[in-house]
Amino acid sequence: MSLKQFSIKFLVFIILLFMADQFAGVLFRKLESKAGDKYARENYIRYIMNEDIIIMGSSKATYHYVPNILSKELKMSVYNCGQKGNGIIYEYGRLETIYKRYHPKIIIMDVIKGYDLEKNDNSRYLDFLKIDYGTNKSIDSLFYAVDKYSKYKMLLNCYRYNSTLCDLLINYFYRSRNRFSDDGYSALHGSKIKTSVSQKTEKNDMNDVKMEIDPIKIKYLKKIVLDKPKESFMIFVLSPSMYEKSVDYNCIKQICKQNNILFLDYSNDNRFVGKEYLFYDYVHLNEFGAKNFSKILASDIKEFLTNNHINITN
Amino acid sequence: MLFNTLAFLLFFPLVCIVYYLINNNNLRTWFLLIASFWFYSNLSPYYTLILLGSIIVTYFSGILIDTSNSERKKKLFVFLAIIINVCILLYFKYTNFLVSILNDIVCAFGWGGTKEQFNIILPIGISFYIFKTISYISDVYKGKIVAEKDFHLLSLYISFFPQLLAGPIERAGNMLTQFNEKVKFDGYNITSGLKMMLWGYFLKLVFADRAIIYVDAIYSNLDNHNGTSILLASVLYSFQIYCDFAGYSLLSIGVAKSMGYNVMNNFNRPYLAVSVTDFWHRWHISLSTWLKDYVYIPLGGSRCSKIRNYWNIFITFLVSGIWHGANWTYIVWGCLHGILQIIEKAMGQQKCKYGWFGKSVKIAVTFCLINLAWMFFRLPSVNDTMYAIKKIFTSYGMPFVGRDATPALEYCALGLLFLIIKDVLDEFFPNRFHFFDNDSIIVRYASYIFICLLILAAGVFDNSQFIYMQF
Repeated sequence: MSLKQFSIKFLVFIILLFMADQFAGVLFRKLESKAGDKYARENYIRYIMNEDIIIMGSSKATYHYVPNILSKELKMSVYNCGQKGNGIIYEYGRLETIYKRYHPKIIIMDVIKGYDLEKNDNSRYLDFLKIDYGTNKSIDSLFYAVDKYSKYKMLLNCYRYNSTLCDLLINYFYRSRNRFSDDGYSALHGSKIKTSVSQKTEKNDMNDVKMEIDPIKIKYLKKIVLDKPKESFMIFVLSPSMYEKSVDYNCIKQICKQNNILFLDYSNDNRFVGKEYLFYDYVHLNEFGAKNFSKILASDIKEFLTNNHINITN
Repeated sequence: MLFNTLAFLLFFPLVCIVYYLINNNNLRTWFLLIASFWFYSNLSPYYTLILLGSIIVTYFSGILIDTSNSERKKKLFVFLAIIINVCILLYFKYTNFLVSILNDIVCAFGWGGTKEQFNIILPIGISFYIFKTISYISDVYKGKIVAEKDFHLLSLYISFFPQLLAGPIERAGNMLTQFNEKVKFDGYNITSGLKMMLWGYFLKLVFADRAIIYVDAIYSNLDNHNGTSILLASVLYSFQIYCDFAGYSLLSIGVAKSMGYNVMNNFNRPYLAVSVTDFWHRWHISLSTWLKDYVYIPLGGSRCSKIRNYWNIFITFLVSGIWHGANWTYIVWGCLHGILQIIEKAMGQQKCKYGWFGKSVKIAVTFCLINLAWMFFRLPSVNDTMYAIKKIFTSYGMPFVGRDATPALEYCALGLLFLIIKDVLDEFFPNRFHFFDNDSIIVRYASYIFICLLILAAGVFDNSQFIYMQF
């Protein structure tokens, strides 16, 4: 085969591959728009959600904040946007898409060291934002900050949906499988603290104070605070854990202080620490613990708003 | 630079284009040599010096062996060259292991001892290029090849970048002949090279790098997992190591093929072997033929008494185990393979004389035995392996699923489906079903595009190392 023949064939192949990738992109988008569970929830957050109060964070947010309790206490609608295994990088991108549609009245940010401070592979937090790439400049810049090659990688639709194929298919064909209630909350029932051996390591990790702070996460933490709409009230919350922790959250506290953001710390709260019946595991509250925590949080927010004469409801 | 990095995807086409643009063969091979050293120095410039040292020793010893008149002198040069190269390997790979053995002996006699280890970093690919140098010296001594007078060609043979990090351990006779001839541009070479690379990337990115997530989760925490999970992890590891190494080999052979060089095949559907002996005719073929030519046959091979023949098999696989790594687990793994082959030979079970049912049973039994041996290979100690095996037979339950484990299992199932279909069709219907080599251009292109899209959608792009690079 001559060079000319080879070049033509190779070019044809590249064009066909690009076309097939575009077609696969259409299929993936179709699947994603129809799939249930976390995809349906993510689509709701992205395109429909208009609740007054939104909760952002990782799995701790998903399991710890009961929207109907917060809603009753604060007399506002609430949606829980917590996303398992995600942190500040995802939250920045998601908030930017939400701000394009509307400005929530209260934004509760649940923080956790592993996802919001510690240096680790940030590209894993971009998975849910890949669909939004190219639609929002702030999200695009987030991709470039995390991975300098993303400009080229994101040209391919199949790469955008990398590692979602099986999950999308399962959630498409079993749309009834939904672990979330209509307000985004997911409850953990009972407690497995005494039964699970593997949790021992989790317990030990809790007090691991050695941590390298990630400048990218800090940069986007600051951006979240600075990009906050003027009319929105933002609160950073450290939700309860089974054991006392000595993690240094000073940099978050400082950012909050500099920008007049309320910071509430329940991480070493005696009402929760050591009370196994409130926890599902060493990190997450069970349904009973979450209800207790939501009541306390709602009352503290209400008290703060009243004491400081802040009127958000209107 | 690893084959599964973006840097390599830029490096390879660039090298290929410049290579074909150069008309003069001498300049081409010089260019390939520079590219190979640049490829290797990307890992560490320090490693490159060790490689260069080994090349210099091999080059001069080859010339001295070839030009010496007396047999005694030839033997002396062979001995010195092999000893120097083996010592380089011993120092980097086995110092700490030997020190720990000595330490255990000293402790056993109550003479004290220390747990301190030397901080020695193993240069990537050292086991592979040292074996190449040994085979070259041996072949020159036996008169199979003439010593290469051109330093840069011998250097290229030892450091040729597609084979440098993890083989295949190609013989000098085959490669030097090809380096001496000018390769004309042929689109078919590039196409068939790219096809091999495509399947290699599929094996590595879609299966091997996905399976590692589940295998590591189980094997790094044996206490907390039941026997069912351990069994599942062991099966996944068998396929992980196959996909990882066969994937690497296909990439290596494909890259060389794209530049017009034919490199020996390294894998031939090993898990469809009907015996452990058959397995070694299909697995890491370049190493098993190397061991046959430079260990088994010099020991006497099969042209001796039965007992001596069994001993030769055992020693050959003991060497194979030691070559793989400085740990008792590799030695046990090698011995196990040796013993199993001796048993097969004694029972006349090396080949399959039965019908399809008997063959299926033999394939299944062989896979179970190989799978068991891989557990020794993968787990950190013999005690851990025994503990894991015991758990498989005593602790039952549902396999472990979790945040990362569930998707890992889903994608492994998907990858395994395609792998099994391809291997079974290639093995049992070799002339009936072809996808990449189908006569219809539509089927061919559809297969390429489908696998490309599958890699993009289901591959793991974390630039993880290939397993065999650690050897």
